[in-house]
Amino acid sequence: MSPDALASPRDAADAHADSTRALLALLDDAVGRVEAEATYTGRFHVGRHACWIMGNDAALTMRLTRCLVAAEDGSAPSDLTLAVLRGSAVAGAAPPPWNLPHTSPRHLERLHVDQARGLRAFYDHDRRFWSICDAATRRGLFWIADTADVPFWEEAAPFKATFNWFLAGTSATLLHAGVVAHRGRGVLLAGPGGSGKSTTVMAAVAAGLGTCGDDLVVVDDGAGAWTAYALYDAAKFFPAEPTGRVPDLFTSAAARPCGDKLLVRYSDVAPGRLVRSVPLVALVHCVISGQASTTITPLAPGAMLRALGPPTAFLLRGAEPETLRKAAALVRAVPSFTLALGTNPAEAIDALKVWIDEGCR
Amino acid sequence: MSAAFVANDRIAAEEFAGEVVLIDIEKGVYFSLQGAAVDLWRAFSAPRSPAAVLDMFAAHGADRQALEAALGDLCRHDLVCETAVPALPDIACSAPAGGFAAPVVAAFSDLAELIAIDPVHEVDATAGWPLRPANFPDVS
Repeated sequence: MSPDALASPRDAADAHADSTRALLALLDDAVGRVEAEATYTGRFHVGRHACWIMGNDAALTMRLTRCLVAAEDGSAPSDLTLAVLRGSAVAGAAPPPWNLPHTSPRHLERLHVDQARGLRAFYDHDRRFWSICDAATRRGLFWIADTADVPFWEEAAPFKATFNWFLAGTSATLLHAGVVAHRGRGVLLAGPGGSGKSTTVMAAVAAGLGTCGDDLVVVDDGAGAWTAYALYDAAKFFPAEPTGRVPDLFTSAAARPCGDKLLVRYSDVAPGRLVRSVPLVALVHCVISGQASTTITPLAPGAMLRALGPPTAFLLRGAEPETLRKAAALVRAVPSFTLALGTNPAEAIDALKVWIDEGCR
Repeated sequence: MSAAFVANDRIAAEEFAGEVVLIDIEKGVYFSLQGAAVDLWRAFSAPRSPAAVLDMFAAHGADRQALEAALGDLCRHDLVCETAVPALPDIACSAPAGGFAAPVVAAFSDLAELIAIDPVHEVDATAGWPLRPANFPDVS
């Protein structure tokens, strides 16, 4: 069908429904192929949920699941089945390009959202891969033409779009944030790139504290209290960071290149310090103060939501209202603060530990 | 009869004590409403006549001129838009203790250009998200 503007709202609605049907057929076809040809299967945690991942290319699927948190019980039922299909493994079966009518501004960026069905799909034109999630059948798909096309960020944070779409239908959400855990209490760290989130988390881990991740974490109030869950076992840093900014624990570890950065797993660098989950006792907005000492002061909830909600919603497209709603619920339930980080990461961690020990007051 | 206006249904909004945070998913812009702008936003949760709303708030002590400017901002950013649905006849209103605070409509477009890049964001390699790459072309 032509991508030209459609004649009427009714035409657009019909075309949108046609797109949903086409995407479900694509999903059925691709998942069927992977089921028939699976050479790798594994079970991983996605918040409180379990995800069964299977792939028709073992090397690719193992590479993509390396930074996920493996489930202890590999035989228990899963809440989401995710198929990883490498197109070139099947003759003539590379992923089809986006060929859907443009029924909304979101289709111009090759993002299809069928809110009623819970179907979301995205096509990356440059790298020729599909991400699809169908909440109704709890199936997801990552279909790429060739291993060489896999973007580097998918190794450190694989399937984040699919996981976000799956979680949209649950009590959980992904957030662009880090988490530091100390004595069973978790503090969520929000802030844009360069605000000190990752540096603080790595310094915390080097100091013996735990973490659920430094960039994307799952939060969920389904168990009665807001809890953070580790999704990605990954820390990234630049090889030429200023001395002392990244702890030796990380710089001395065997790392893999990830774009311009180096990638290590928390579980390799500091076994046991990537905690599966931790109750959240505070939310902090990280800012670099430039001062010698770190200070922690109360922050208005609206300001915290602005720091947490929009960056996450716009980073993880396709479930923005759900993301904002859940981020707001978290901000309403858990007190917010500004963490004005001093120049010495170790001093910041000492201040954070004392503050948590004293009840985040 | 004047046209009715209503909150745009594509806008995601969350209200806290004294503040409403809104995001425009398509434009990549987010907003903070404070003071009497929060009351205005609430008023347009259903179709209303702008003149009737402004008159009603003014009758309860609000600064009509400031509210009119704030409503202009809400309309300019497509947070509130015209609707063919008939306006509801009235709206309950009571002035808050201490009177209406000055309306504030703050728009934040620092993420908008990132939305134009791609849903799979290629963000600044050194700083991460949300900072656009240095070589990203001007999309304005």
